[in-house]
Amino acid sequence: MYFYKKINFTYDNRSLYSHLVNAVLALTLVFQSTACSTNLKSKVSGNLNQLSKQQTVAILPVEILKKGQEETGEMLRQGLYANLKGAKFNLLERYVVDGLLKQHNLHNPAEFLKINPMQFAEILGADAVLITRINKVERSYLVIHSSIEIGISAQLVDTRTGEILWRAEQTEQDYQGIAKIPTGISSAILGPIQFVTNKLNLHRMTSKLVNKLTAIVKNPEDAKKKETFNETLISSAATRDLKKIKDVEKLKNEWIDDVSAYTEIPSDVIDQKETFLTKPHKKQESLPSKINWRQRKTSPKPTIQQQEKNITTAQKLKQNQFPQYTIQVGAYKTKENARQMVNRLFKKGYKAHIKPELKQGTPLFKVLLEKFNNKDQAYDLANKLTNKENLPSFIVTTASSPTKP
Amino acid sequence: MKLLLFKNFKYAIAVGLIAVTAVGCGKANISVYHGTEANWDYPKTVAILPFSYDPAITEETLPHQILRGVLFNYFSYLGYTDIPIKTVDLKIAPLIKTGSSIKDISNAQLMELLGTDAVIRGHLINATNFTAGIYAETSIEAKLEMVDLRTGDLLWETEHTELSTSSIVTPSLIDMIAEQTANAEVDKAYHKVAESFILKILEKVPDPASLRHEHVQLPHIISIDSNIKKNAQLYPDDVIYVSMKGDSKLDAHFDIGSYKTRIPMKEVSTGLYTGSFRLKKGDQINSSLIIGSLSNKKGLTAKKFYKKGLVFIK
Repeated sequence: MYFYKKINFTYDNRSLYSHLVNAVLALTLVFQSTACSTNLKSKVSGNLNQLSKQQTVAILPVEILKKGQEETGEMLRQGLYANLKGAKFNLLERYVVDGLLKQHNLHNPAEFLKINPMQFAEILGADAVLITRINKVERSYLVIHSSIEIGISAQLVDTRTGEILWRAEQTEQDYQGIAKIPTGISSAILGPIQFVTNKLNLHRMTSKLVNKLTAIVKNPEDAKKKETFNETLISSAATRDLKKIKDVEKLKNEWIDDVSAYTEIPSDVIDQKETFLTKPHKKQESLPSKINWRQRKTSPKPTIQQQEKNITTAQKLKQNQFPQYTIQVGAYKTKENARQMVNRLFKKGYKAHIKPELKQGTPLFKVLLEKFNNKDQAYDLANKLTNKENLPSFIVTTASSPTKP
Repeated sequence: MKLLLFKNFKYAIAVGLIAVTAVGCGKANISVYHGTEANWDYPKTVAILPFSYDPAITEETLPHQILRGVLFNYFSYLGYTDIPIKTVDLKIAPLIKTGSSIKDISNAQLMELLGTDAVIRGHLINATNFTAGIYAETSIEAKLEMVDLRTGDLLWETEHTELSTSSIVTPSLIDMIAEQTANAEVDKAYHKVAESFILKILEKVPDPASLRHEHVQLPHIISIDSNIKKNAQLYPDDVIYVSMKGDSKLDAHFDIGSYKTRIPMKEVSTGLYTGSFRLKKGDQINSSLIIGSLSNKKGLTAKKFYKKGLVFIK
């Protein structure tokens, strides 16, 4: 009553009042739209639709970048479980996930992205894994203004193919303070304090963030074109290992084509080679590092006595004076292909060279690497090539026949 | 004049503190009668029964169902094996149809019907939702309890009221408008309050997860084999054969990448499963691995990749 009596509604006053109301409304709208800001980048693969209740997804423990984010990590994972309970796929229960990870000594979520998804399939029995990370949890307080910012990233990977089914990055920010038009002096002072200190606010924000984040996963068919991957994306860990499988198979095929060019490798050499090639991968079961070399069938294997007979004293002297071992990494029908391989190795710092030979009248270009006096040194490098470069190889003598240990 | 200012300031501080307290740290009181500490026989399977509600509650939005749904979603985070709500409802439906109310069903009957170690019962005492200009409120008052069906023991119980209000004591005008608008969406408002309710409860509910970690065991697959060797290209009408050795009497299937999944396998002798898939014209499979799976009755599945070859279709 007092309020209405005080304002004398003349025409000018009404106009002023109307402008004031409009300005407040406009401001309110502006602040409302910016008050709680979300920056969500999310993309899904068309194959996400194929996950059904028959498929199981494991939500892995959340990676945190700083100490003190553990609680937010738990909140996030809890929220993901609760939200994705309504998704089209099954969730592998948390205690099962944690129990199996613990049994396999996988305690560090920071390592999860480096692990081949296929390995997760065998460890957890899940069809897909959800890997998440908290990028930031920032609370700031400046007397009349406080804010909380949470940033996370998530990636859902199909463990059967390594395909990334969903990838998202989201930042959620909210604040309390003068910009939100406090309802009084006390609110202006106490509001910001309450905002950053109350755990419930962080919980609410996390909950809100998860709701927005998972919306597209729950209903992937609603994804717009810009929210869909243009092409199939394979996780780097899976690409690495699939590439290994393919490379090994490709090399096998290439080498099988030229198999008759190779001198027969004695079986004991094969055994030794397989041992040192497979040893570093013991932990990574998923890598087929075993290479079964085909043996040349063109001529019978000479006996050791015959070989010894064939080596003249001069040759023996030569072998003792010069490097005796080298590593063969390929044999090509065209020089161009061999040169490409040499260039590739050269860029990586290896000294490779081409050795042209004739095989039944057809030219063959062998790519050889380094020269060694000592067989162990050759083994060391061959081992390195397998582990570091994923390059199958074998040791040959400079006389171009594979070495016998 | 000074006195008036001082009084106003005191009032403002008081209102502010009330606001902080009201919006802030309300905690749920939960009485835990049996914890999980070294208790190996703590219930592992749990069913959340339909919640009863006070006849005075006439809400069309059925807040008791919202609360039950939210509890189910969040409860799955704890180390219990919980039965989906729909399954629970289907299993107890015959008894409800005969006129029995949830309260009347004995523990023994529930155990027989549901096959779980424990149940959670819930009763909605009160629920409110109204938006009135400068004041808006949504609240849920409920009683929850978890009962061990094997012994009849009450494991924990709680009676809690979760309240969300928005009024002139809200710190800012923007928040006030946002909260009032949100409160008008009744379903969402109840959902939000139910979430706060359940999160507070679950902080104190015993969690047997750590007790179960060591006992999680997937079925065992010894080996998997196939007729696919290296990168051989396949053609329509070619048949992929897969055999797998592992634990016997389980459900077995194999996948070709994610392209063809759950192709059934049959146990042809103890622990030996075989299955096949004939390729059809139009099948587009490129660099796919074959994955064998073995599932037990607990719903746990083991997987093993066949790594000696990839499936390509010409």
